[in-house]
Amino acid sequence: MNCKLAIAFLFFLLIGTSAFAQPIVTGVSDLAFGTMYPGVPLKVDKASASAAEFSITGTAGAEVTVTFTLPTYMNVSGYTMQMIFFNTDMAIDSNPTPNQLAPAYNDLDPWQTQTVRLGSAGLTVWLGGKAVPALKQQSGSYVADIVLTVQYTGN
Amino acid sequence: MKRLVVLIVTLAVTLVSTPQTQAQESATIQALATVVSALTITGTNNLNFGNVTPGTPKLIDKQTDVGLAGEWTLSGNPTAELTLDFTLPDSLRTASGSAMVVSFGITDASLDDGSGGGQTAPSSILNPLIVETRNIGAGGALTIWIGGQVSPTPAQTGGAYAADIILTVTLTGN
Repeated sequence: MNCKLAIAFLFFLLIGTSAFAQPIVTGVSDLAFGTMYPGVPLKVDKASASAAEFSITGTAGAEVTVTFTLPTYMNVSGYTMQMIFFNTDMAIDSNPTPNQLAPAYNDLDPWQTQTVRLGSAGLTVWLGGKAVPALKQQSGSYVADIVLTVQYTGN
Repeated sequence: MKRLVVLIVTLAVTLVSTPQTQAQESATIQALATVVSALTITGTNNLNFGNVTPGTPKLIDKQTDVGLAGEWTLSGNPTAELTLDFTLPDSLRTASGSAMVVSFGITDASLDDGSGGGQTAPSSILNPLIVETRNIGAGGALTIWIGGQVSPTPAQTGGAYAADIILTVTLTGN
């Protein structure tokens, strides 16, 4: 009898735990430097339309860690171009209507894991950066991956 | 039986306490950049005098003779300073070597850096007989036109005449 009760209890708990929404991270926009010239660095501000943007959804109010895996170079056909991410190049907004120009959490360090709570509509994360072509940078379309990882803290 | 109950309850407690911390997800976007050559110049239109009558000079105007004036299109780093150096022929020649005089005046070239109105209302006049210093437009583009005059003699030999007009562009680094 007790065993049946325990199994039933476990069953309901399993159903209950499945109600916690898995965090979903979506890449919305690439970090787009556009056309660049050798020897002329270009910075994309996190508040610009060319900034990288991610959308995170999950359990409203849940605390999550947000961690970037950032590249140090962009690449094309064996050639590299240096990238720089400064310690204020990241912003996060938890408001239902995200405001890229006045985010709730601004000037964050993308090299550090950030801990924030999901808003009712989740989170929006922006990232700026700088590309630094050399004086004799090889022409071409350079690409690098930017990965954002989100994890619940349990708080 | 009691052990089984304890085991199930323990499992349940574990499930309750950990579900959120186990949930993790990643997404990847890309950083994209297109690096272009610091300076690109293309001859986009020949200076075309068309049919010429012996003994009658013919002028092609850099502004008004749209489609006939010589034209180069340049792209590069916005506002970069550069020099423009024309290498001009003194004659056009046929394949068999007959020559026809061609000449260029000090106002026979022009450019538009994007701030003017194009060929008919360029932003600046150029002297093609000297090395001029200018800047690429704020949009990273520059268009240059050149006109000139041919002076066929009354006894000019019939035929197709041609000569190269070379524009050499050099970034000053400023």
